Amino acid sequence: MNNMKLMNKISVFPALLLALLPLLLLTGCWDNVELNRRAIVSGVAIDRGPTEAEKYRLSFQVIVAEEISGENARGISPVAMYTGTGRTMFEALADASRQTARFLSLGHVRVLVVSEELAREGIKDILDVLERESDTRLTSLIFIAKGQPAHELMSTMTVFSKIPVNDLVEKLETTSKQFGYNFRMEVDDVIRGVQLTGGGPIINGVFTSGSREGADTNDNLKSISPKNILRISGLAAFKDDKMKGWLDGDAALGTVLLHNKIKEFPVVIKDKEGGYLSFNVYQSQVTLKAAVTDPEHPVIIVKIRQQAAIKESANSLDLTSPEVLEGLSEQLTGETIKQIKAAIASAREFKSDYLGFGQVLQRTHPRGWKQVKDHWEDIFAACEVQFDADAVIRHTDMRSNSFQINK
Amino acid sequence: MKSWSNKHKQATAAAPANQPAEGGAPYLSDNFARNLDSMQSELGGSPDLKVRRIQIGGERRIEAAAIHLSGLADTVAVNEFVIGSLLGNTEDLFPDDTDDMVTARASDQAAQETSHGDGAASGTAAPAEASINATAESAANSAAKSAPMFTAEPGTGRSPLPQLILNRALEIGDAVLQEEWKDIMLAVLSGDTVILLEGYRTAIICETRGGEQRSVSEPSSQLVVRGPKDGFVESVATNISLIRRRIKSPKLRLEYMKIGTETQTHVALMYMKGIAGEDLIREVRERLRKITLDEVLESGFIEELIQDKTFTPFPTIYNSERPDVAAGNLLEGRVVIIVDGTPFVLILPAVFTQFFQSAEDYSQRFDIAIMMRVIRYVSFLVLILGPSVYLALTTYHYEMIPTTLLINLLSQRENVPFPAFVEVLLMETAFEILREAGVRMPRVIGQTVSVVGALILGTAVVEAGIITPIMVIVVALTGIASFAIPAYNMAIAGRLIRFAFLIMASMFGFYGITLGLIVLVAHMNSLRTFGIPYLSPFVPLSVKGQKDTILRLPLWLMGPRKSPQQMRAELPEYMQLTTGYDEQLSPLILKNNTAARQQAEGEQHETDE
Amino acid sequence: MGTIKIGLGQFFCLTVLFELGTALVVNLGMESGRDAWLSILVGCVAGLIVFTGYAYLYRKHPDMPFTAYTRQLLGKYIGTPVAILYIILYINLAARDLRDGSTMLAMATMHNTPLFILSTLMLLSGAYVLHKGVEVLSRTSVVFALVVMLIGLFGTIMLVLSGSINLHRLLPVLENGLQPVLVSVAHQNYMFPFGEMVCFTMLMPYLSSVKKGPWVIAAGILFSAILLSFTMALNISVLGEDIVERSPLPLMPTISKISISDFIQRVDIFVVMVLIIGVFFKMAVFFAAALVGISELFHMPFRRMLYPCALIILFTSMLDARSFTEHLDEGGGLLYLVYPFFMLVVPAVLVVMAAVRAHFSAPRPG
Repeated sequence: MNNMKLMNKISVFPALLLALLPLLLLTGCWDNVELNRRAIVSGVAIDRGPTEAEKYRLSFQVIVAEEISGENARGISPVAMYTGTGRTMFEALADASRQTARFLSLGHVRVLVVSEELAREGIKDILDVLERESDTRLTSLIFIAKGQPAHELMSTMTVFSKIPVNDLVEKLETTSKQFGYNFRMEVDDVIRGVQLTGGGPIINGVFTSGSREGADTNDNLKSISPKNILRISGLAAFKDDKMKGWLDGDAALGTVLLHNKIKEFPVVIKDKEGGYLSFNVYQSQVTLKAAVTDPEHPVIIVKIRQQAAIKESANSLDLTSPEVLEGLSEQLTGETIKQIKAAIASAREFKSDYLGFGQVLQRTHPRGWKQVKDHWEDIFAACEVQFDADAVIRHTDMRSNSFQINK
Repeated sequence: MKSWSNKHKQATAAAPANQPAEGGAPYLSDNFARNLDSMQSELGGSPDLKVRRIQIGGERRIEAAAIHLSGLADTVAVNEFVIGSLLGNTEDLFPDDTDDMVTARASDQAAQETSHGDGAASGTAAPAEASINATAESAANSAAKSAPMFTAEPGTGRSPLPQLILNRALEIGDAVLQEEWKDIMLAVLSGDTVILLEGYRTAIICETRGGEQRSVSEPSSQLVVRGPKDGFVESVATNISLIRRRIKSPKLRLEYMKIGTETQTHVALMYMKGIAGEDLIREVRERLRKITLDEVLESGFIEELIQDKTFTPFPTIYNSERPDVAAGNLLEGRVVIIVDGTPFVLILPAVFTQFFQSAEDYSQRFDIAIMMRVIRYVSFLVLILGPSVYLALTTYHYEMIPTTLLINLLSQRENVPFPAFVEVLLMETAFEILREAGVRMPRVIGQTVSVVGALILGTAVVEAGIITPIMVIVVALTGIASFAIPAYNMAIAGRLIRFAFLIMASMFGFYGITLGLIVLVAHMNSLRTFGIPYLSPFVPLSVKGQKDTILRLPLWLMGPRKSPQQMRAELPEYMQLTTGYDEQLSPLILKNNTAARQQAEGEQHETDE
Repeated sequence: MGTIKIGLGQFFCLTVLFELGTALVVNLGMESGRDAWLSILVGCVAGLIVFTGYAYLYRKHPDMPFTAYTRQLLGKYIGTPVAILYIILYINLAARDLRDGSTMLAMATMHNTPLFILSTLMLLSGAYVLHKGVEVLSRTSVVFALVVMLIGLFGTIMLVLSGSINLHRLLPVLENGLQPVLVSVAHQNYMFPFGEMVCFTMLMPYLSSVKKGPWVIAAGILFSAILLSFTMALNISVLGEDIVERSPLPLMPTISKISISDFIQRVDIFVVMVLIIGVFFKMAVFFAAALVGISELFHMPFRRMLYPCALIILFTSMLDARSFTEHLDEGGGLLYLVYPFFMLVVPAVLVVMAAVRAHFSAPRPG
């Protein structure tokens, strides 16, 4: 009886499965790719090719893993660059794939660098494949190569990471946390930016400083001062998908402040006696509002809340007095307002609302927005901006007054 | 058991009572020599059958023989209490001479007989052994049967001699009269001493079981840091005493069965009356009764035959070597089955969570116990999913691996000749071989095996570049995880399932793993252990039942203990039902009457085929 | 019907998983733009109203599945064809769901695996579970409802931690008024996924409590609607309205935005797991509904039709359409033209019949 039962149970379902199993095993593993059949791409540079048939010139920085952490490293370069061209991005990728021994795997692309030339021509065509392809990640960072071919940025040896792209990413993280005005700009941010009515994205700029000779070999690192350094600087301002120009200095900082992306940055002000004071603003909160009585003439209210600490005060100011600090914080807000005004001025110059004023209006006053949507550019160029700024100097760090006060 | 009694009945029917005893005759003959001969010939003249011929009685000498198997019987008991008392106390036994002293002794013995098992003087094992005979159904039956026969003993007109000897001469704790040949042979084979008397068709069976046994020692399989250190041994009587010593309650009930047509193994069924559900006990008894088997050498034989029939790698009956675990489970309303000849007792019903409990959980503080339990569940997950997740991550979803780690893995894999799947399979198989070798090895060599296996083989394989180091880590981790599960049989189940997941992962990545998980959980949900859903109290969810699953709440919070049976009784009716798995019609759910179900099943299959 | 009874908690979980099904990962209700989360909630209310009808029918016939009381109410000659049509509907829904699931899977990760293999594997697992019985299916759903919740919780916390959520993207609410929301509800949301509850009329006889049962299912619908709405809001607040609208599986890019110091990254595989679990349970419920219907209508053992039915589902799903776009287009057509007939019209007729019958046959008080 037991045997019969056994037979009966075997016969129905497991038998079916068992019959299928060898079938499945034999036909193979379709999506199965062994790790050592993959070429991991860490970064992609996108250049404009000379002709229509070679419209896109994609340079893939491929990690040579064995050189980075393997035991039998051959002492060759830790990354290799493959370049492919094509009418579309995908064709260029296919072209590059043909040169590599392994599958170009885009799952770990951390950086995309677009050349300035291509950016000025328009980037919307390259974005489609980036969001459509399931292998690429939306969290890849986008850069614009400032005034040079993008592939040069993929072929520069760096000091702090064997993979140049990682060096770039780390630099960005550092500057966005401290003393800089660049911030993480990911693929989907750019896509959203391109669709901003009357505006566009802003993208970090990157360039190499120094001589290009030998930048792609270890020679670059042999001296104490590397010949060629990857540097992140400036913001590329876009109108729709076309790059309009570069933001630097106050305008860049103000833009980032308006986007609320900056965590910590230094401010230097000049006091009445002509000396300089340095602050570290370690918290900055900017909120935008729109006061709309007449949609044709909206008023954008920029509310700024900042916290700062005095980092340097090489003069005889009495920092123990609240009044003095009050005065300083007013100067501080003045400085911030100056920066934001510079940002708005350059945005108006580029005729691009990458600052998101239109969005603010849309959020707070959707009906009014619909009326002005079509000619927002004109309104943006003329709309009034009001400031409501408040800065607090929380502390003066480890000393109160400078020793110079006792002179 | 069943078949044996059937045969017995047939034999009784076929042969009338007073036929002379041949080899297979049902009763003793009155020819003393012939009885001895046939006994010896039935055992094939085995040299360990010791026949001590003596003459008893004062003037009227009667030939008698004390027969036992050397080694099985307790020599001291045979010599002093059986043969000694036969020789010493039978002088004045014959009905003509009455003696005050003897009557006194006889009444004394009678008292002892009625309260068998309480005699504390004769060592630990003896009283328990005595209780075996007293409660064993066969003995009771035959005693009842034989009682009227003796009074009707023809031709004497007085109390028969065997009865007299039993009543007045034998200084042994437990002795009965027996005249059925089978029972006499069984008694000899169990280590009792049989006294045959010339001219009587009745033999006296003296309880002299003994011989060498392993003493109670620390269990070798389920170790604890803190907790009792005694473990079950191979003797069913000792095992019962170990439990009885922990539960001094009249509610603790014991039933005996003999299973195995050849081995005639004692199987004891223990439960707490009033705590364990009546239907459960009935069910267990019924299933035990249905066993037809030649041999029962280990509790595994019983386990396989009484568990709910389903194809599954999962154990549905718990086994333990620890008396404290058995006692605890008895108090929780479970049934314990003790099989003679093995230190592993069966505890049932056993749900999934039970296999993750250890006796130590209750010795440690509850928060620590919870942590230990969580670790066990985690290690079970690691065990079944570890290698397959690794495989799926590296060959399918490489984008999930952090870049730096990926570079590391990639450089490791650079010169490895095998695909990852083969690599995992190789290493897992190698590990299984190592484990199997380590388990079977004598303890002294076992050390060497683990050193050679783990250290030398592991490092060599990595250095030779055949296997990636990370693979060794993964396999070692699963290996260690499998040892973190307290129940060995659950760990084996996990190891088996791991291979299924490996295949799924190698073909379909996480898709395969997810579907595999769904099927696995569904499979576990379809399992029942004596009517209780295997995954309870998680599914069906019972909040009250959570007190002692992943959590182990402090004892003061556990409240009055409820047995699974009680909880089951409190559940609404639909929850007590089975899956209807064995029902061929639409998913009707049958009342959990497994015996009826099995019967019905058998019929169905017969009609099917 | 048989005496099999399924506990309320299990039914709740089964309902939730069924409702979440594919709906959790697709761009549900995006016709109403960034107010999709609202249209899901409104759709849920519509779905609940429809469900009231089903519940009414169930209360009147607590021991019968839909196909049985159809025949009782409409008579043998009209009722039987209608019942057969329903069985075909369930098989069709199961097949469509299977196709949905396997294609999405192919889009998301398994680019090269044949669709047929993916479907077969999924269907075989479903057949195995149903082979073990409807009760096993519902119990299994408890475990996986928990898994889905945990994944959801993990995803939400990680998104918050990686700072990808920007609630501004949800604003302004109701930019174009209520109309787009209502249009979206009318086009899609009352039917998908809430109208599909019609297949629960086949399983409701298994409910352990006639009184509480429908309430529990309604609670399940509401709970899953809240989850769906929350997920949609999450998608929009992470990706923005436009990207969500253009993604067939917006939850995947949403979750893939999780990046915690480059260690936890690209966890979108969890979304794939949710997708698999959802598709599996949804398909299994349709499958079970079809099987219960067949076994009830033709007085056939439940399990005998299991494998034939599985084959039918498999091939229906494979031959359904050549491409996913075609499949979706076809689905849209069915959603407008066919499903309302089954999910609204017929039940409405039945409700009226049942009410009339109850009115006349009930003993008049006083």
